[in-house]
Amino acid sequence: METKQAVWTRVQTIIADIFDRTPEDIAPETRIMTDLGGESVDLLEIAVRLNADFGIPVDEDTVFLKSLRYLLAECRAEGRRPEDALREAFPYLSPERRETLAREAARPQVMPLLCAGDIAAYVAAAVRRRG
Amino acid sequence: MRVVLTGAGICSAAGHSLAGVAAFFAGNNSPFVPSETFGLPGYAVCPASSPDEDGLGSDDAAARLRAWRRRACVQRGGRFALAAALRAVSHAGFSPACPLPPETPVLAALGPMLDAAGEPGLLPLHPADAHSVGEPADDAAPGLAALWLLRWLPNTTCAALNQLLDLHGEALTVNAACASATQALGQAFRRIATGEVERLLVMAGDSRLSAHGLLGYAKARALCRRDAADASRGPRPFAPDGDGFAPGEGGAAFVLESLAAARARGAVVLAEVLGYGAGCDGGSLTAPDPSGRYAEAAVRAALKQAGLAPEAIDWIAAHGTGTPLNDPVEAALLARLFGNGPAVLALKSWLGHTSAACGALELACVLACREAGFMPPIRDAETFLRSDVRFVRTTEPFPGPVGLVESFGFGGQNAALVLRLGTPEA
Repeated sequence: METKQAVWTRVQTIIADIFDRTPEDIAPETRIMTDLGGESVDLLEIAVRLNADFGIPVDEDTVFLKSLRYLLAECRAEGRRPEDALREAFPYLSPERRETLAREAARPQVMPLLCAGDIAAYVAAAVRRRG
Repeated sequence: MRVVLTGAGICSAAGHSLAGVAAFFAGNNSPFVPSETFGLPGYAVCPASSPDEDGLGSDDAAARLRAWRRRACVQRGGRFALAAALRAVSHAGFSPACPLPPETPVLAALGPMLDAAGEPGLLPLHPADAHSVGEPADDAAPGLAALWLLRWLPNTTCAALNQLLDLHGEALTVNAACASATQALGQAFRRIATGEVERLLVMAGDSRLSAHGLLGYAKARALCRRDAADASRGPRPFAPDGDGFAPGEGGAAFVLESLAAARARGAVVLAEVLGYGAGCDGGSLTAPDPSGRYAEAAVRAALKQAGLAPEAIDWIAAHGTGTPLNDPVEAALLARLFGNGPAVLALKSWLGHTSAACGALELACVLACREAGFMPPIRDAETFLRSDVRFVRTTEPFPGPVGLVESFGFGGQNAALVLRLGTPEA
C-alpha cells in the first residue's frame, strides 16, 4: 500500500508534467486554475493520467471539486448544513479543508479553489479503497 | 489593390533566417542524411534536426515556442510553421509593443500528421488491448494522452498561432498536397487584391520524416532509394537519373499586405505579388497529367493576371522533385513556355521535398538568394533532361527581379505565383 507521501510525490510529478513545471513548483496548496493557469483541457489530461498511472476510477466532478458550488447552492436552497453535504461529497478531504472550502466558496466572485493537495487526497483514498 | 510581401520567416535545414539560408547555399554542404534514424532505412532525407531535437533554431521565436506549454499539441511540421510565422511577423516590423492587428486573418498550409508510431500509447492497438482494459472505450490505450488527437487535426497549428499572437480574424487551413503553400499564398493575394482584407499572415509547415510518413511515399515508390553510404547525394531534380524525391521538413511564413497599407506604416517591401493561377488535372489521384496542359494553364493564368508575357520572367523556382513522373512533364512545360530564357532553380535539390510547405519555403529561399545576390546551382547537377531549358548549373549572379514559383501536387493540384522581388516602383 502506498503511503500518502508516495501518492503525493506521484501526483506532484503528474501535475508538473502537464503544466511544464518542475515538481518543486507544485505544493499541496498550489491552485490548479489560478496559480498554474489551468484550463478544462488540463483537468482532462490530469484525469486520464491518474486513471492510467494509479489504475483507479476517476470521477471528474468529485476530484476537481466541480460539484462544490452546486452542492453549496443546494444547501442554501434546502436549508441544509454545508458541512454535512461536503462530508458526503468529499469524504477524503480533511474536515479543516472542507471547512475552508465552504467558507471560501461562499464569498462573491470566488476563484476556482481546487488545489494540488485536493487531488492527491482523492487519489490516496481511491488507492486505499482499492487495497 | 497591389499586394506586397513585407515579412518573411523560415525554419528549415537550410537555416532560420534569410541570411542563414544564403550562407547555407554558399557553403555547399549536403543536408541529406540516411533515413534510418527516422524509422525507415533505405532513403535520403533532409531533416531540420535529428529526430530527438526540435529543429526550431536558437532565436527568440524558438525560445518563445519552447516556453509555450501547449507546444506538444502541435505536430512537428506545424511547429516549424509556428517558428516561421513568429519570425515573419517580427521581420515585418511587428512586435509586442506594435502587434499585428487582431483582425488579421491567417491562412495556413499544412500537411497531415503521419507519425503514428511517434504517438505515445497509440500503437500497438488491436481488439485484444481494448478488451483487456475494460468496458468503456475511453479507457482503451491507457498510454495515450487525453488530447493526442490535436496533433493529428490539421487546424491545431493555425489555432495555436492565433493563441500565441492574440489574433481573432479568419483562421483557415489549406491542404492541397504539395501545392498547399503556393495555393495559400495565392488565396491571400486574391483577398488583398480584391480589397477584402488589408493584411494577411500565411504560414506553411510540414514534416514527413517519421516511419509512417516515409512509408506512405516508399510504398508509392515515390522516394529515391539511397543506402547510408550515398544518402548525401540526395535527389536528382531534372536529371535523367532522377529516381524519386527525398523528403525534407520545415516551415516558412509571410506577411502580405496591400502596398498602401505597407506604405502607410513605413514597412520594407520584400516583393510584390503580381499574379496567381491554379487548377487541377482532374485525372490521376497521384501522377501528373503527362501532357502538362493543366499545369501550363495555371502558369499561363498567373502570367495573364500579372499582365506579363513569358519573356518577362527572369527566374523560375521550379517544382522539380526528382521523380520520373514530375520532372519530364515540368521540363517540357518550361521548354514550351519559356525556352532558354529564365534561370530555373530546383531548390528541392537543397531542401528535399517539404511537401505542403514547399512553395513557401522555396519562395523564402529565393528572397534569401536575391538579398545575397546569387543563385545556387541545382545541387550535384551533371546532366539535365533537356538542353532547351536554362537550368542553373553553377552559382550565378541573381538575374532580374521577376519570377515564377511553381508547385504541383498529388491529386493533380497545380499552382503558380508570379512575383517581382524588391521594392516596387511608384
